[in-house]
Amino acid sequence: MSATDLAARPNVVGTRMLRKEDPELLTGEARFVADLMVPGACHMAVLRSPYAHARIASVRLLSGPVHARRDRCLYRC
Amino acid sequence: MQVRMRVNGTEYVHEVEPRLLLVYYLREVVGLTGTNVGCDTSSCGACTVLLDGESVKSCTMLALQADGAEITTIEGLASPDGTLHPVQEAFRQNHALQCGYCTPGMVMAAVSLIREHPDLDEATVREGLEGNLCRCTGYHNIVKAVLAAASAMSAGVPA
Repeated sequence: MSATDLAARPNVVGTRMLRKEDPELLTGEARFVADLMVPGACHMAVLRSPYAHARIASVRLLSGPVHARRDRCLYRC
Repeated sequence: MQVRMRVNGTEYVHEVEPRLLLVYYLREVVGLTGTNVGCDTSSCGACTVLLDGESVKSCTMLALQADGAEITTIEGLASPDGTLHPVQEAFRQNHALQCGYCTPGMVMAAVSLIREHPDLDEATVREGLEGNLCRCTGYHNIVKAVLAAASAMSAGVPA
């Protein structure tokens, strides 16, 4: 790069730059993952064992609306 | 049960479950997702909104408890022409945000704090924002921004 090119560049090093993403973050317009509402999206919940070290004797699926939704979800995904 | 409130100047009436938290009412029923849920346990302050002008953590109260109230969220702070509120502008100028997740709550808490303390000093800002956590900035620029906003507002910049 020639000295002329360097001289033509805006002097940004050491300059305070306003961030481009700030206005939408400051007005609530920014979208985080939790803000995305996709129709039919799968939801998940993790139920952790209350035992620190134990053997899994069996896994029993609960019946009811939560189970039904889980099934539908699994097929669609 | 029926709940009625004014959010950012618009009147809303909805039938909601009694257990619905205000923050989920705002995000999922009204559709204003600018108010974030950080911890769901009233620790982090990301969900702070103004209720009749005073800051509250909206995950800490039920939508029904806000029945009849006037709510302001981060979406309702800037002017309709897009001009940022002095607190939003001060946050921008002072680099008081990075990822921006705590920002809506931080800004709303600051607006309330400035309104309550005409003569803000650094110690008061730090104490006043104790209930709002930020994992990016280390708080220094947030404190600077709130003090800058307070002096801009007392100098007559319209709020």
